Amino acid sequence: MSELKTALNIFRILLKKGELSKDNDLELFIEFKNPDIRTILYDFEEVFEFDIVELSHIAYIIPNSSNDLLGWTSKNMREWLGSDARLVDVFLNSYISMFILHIFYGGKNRNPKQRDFIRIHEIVEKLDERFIRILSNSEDYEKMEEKYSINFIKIAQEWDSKQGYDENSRKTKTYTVIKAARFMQKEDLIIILDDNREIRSTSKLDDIMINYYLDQDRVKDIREIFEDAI
Amino acid sequence: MIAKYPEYLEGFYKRMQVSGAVDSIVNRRERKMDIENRFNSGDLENILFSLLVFIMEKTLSEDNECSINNIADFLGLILPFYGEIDIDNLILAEYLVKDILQNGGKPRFFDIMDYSAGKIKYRVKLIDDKVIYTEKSYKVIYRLTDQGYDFLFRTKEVDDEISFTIEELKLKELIKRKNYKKAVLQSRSLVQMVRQKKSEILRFLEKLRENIYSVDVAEYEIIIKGTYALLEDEYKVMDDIHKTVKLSEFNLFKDENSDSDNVEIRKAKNDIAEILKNIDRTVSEQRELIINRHNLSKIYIDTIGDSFSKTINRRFDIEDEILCVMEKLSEDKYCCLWKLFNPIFKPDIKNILNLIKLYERQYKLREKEFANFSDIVENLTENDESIIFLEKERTNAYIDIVKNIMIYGKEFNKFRFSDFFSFLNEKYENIDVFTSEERIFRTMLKLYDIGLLDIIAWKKERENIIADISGEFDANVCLYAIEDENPDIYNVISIKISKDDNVNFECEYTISENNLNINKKIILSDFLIEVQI
Repeated sequence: MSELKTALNIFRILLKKGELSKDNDLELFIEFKNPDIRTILYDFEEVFEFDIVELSHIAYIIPNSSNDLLGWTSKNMREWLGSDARLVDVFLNSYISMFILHIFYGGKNRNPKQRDFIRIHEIVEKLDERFIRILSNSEDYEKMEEKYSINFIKIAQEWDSKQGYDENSRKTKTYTVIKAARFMQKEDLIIILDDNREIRSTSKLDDIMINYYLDQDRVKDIREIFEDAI
Repeated sequence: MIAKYPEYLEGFYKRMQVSGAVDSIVNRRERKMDIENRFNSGDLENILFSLLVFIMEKTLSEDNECSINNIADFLGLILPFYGEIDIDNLILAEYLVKDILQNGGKPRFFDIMDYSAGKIKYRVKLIDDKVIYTEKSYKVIYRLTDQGYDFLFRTKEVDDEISFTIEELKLKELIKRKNYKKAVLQSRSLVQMVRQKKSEILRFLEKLRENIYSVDVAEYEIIIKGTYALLEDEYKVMDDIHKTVKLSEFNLFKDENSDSDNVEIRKAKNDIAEILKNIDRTVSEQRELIINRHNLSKIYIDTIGDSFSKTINRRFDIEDEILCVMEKLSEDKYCCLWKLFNPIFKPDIKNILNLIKLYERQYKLREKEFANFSDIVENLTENDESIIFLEKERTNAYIDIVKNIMIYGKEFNKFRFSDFFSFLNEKYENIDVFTSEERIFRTMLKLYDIGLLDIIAWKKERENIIADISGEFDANVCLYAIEDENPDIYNVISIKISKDDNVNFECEYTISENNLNINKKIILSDFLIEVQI
């Protein structure tokens, strides 16, 4: 097989599975370490705007933040949330997903991973605390505006208007968190266990968060996302 | 500068590690008083320690997995000793394991004074868990951590480092004294101990792969230098014991020949056979461990290499850099949020290589070339939203039809389409959404065309299926949507649509179009629907 063909095969696996592992694709994984093939892949990385995070037993494809060719878009997220999803729902879903990442990887020491698992009710409680804190300050509106956007206050109200738990209803806080968790599960980032009561991070999420996502050097990139957004 | 301390306080921190373990059980956080109040003082502490011993036994003695259900069964076994306690075993198991022993998933620390280095925060973790991927779902199994083993050994068994040798000495002595009955037990405990070493190494490997930052260099040194040195020594000793036992067996053989009716001799012979079996098992597991030593070193060195090359010197805080910024974000910037997740989501290959997108482009070409498509084009350009709405309404109707077949099928496995139609009529005030564009009838014809909708096969192949969201009925779209709401897909195995006779279904209904009421009459086969659960 030519080097280009091998590199394309590796790229195909990366696109299909999001990863190339020693356990599942041993031959290609060995080829992946070949400097000539790696050079071709560097070209792919540049043209298709992605990075490969390489560990001893696995490699992950990481689309650059603004890569709308390989990556997701807000539209995809909206489609996933359902035909009646509003922008508020997209925001809330993103906020909850990020909040989950924060609970898992909020450690300030050498090992950022803080939790083995998180219970869904705990996420609901922590979000409740956060949103209630915002809403309870609503008398001091000016100060609140300084700290939060008007839209976020609406988000907090939207959260607060949901019921706590009702097995048959979708409009509950618990269901909203589960929905965000399912979205992450679909992306192989977490797994939901124990009859929708508990979540755990996957090794993929651990690898990417610990070896790439949380790097201080990415802060510039993240700030640009918020600044450039139109 | 650290002050001088008395020599007898050297290694004092080791004593306190035991205190930390005891503290995690006695001064447990995450208490649920509705459960705690059902027990007498001290009972839960006894139960928790028993549970730890059970987890050790389950994972070592039987070399088996220990799930929450196994733990619940064990609790069912021991609870009667504590009186009549009205509690569900599974609820108690979850409370003791997840809330107490795992501290609700949060790390638990105990302040320990190490007089040579100062105060340290000692993480107490007596049990660990592992998610096993089974064909249908995930399963969590529990085992003791090294700390847990260490703690349990200190509470009953002798110090770990010398225990192996002591166990072997005991075995040798017992064989010498021809106490084969006890020697059998002794040989079993040797198997248990080598398995503990094995699981210690396996746990270390898993930790290494999961998160190198959770592994200490000292831990590696102990495993590589300490454990393996011990194993190599023991391997030789076990060989000697094997010879001794063989000799005993030979002597017994001679005795048996001279006195073939002696029950004692026959019993001793059986015991010897079991001792030999256990010794062989121990030796073979030791050998396997020693061979794997180089693998372990390689994985460790590779992973360390990774961690150096990928070392992140400083990490940002999600709270400061993302959550707080999101809280101040104006609505017009919400559309950027996907970019935050782009690096962690899988590439959306279906988005790039979706054939539907190709069709969309062809459609636009026609827009320019053919004048008679102008009506459609006008609709598209002026009223995109309503077209999108109509497509979504159509798709949702298909999903609801399939979902309702499953719901109805759970009650009546085999039924006619006419029954199902009546069911929908009763369930929904207005079934226009189903009859509009003859959606329900077309769906039935499509399903009849498919014949058997095999949901188990679909689950296996789902990764390779690209759903067609063009607005036409597509069983894949329906199953994806139903799975999202109900991950088990109502436990339906398959749906089969057939017609076994010439019975027809007829219905008349009225629809409104452009302020006109139009009567429609539909005649189609009264299909037979079979839902296998």
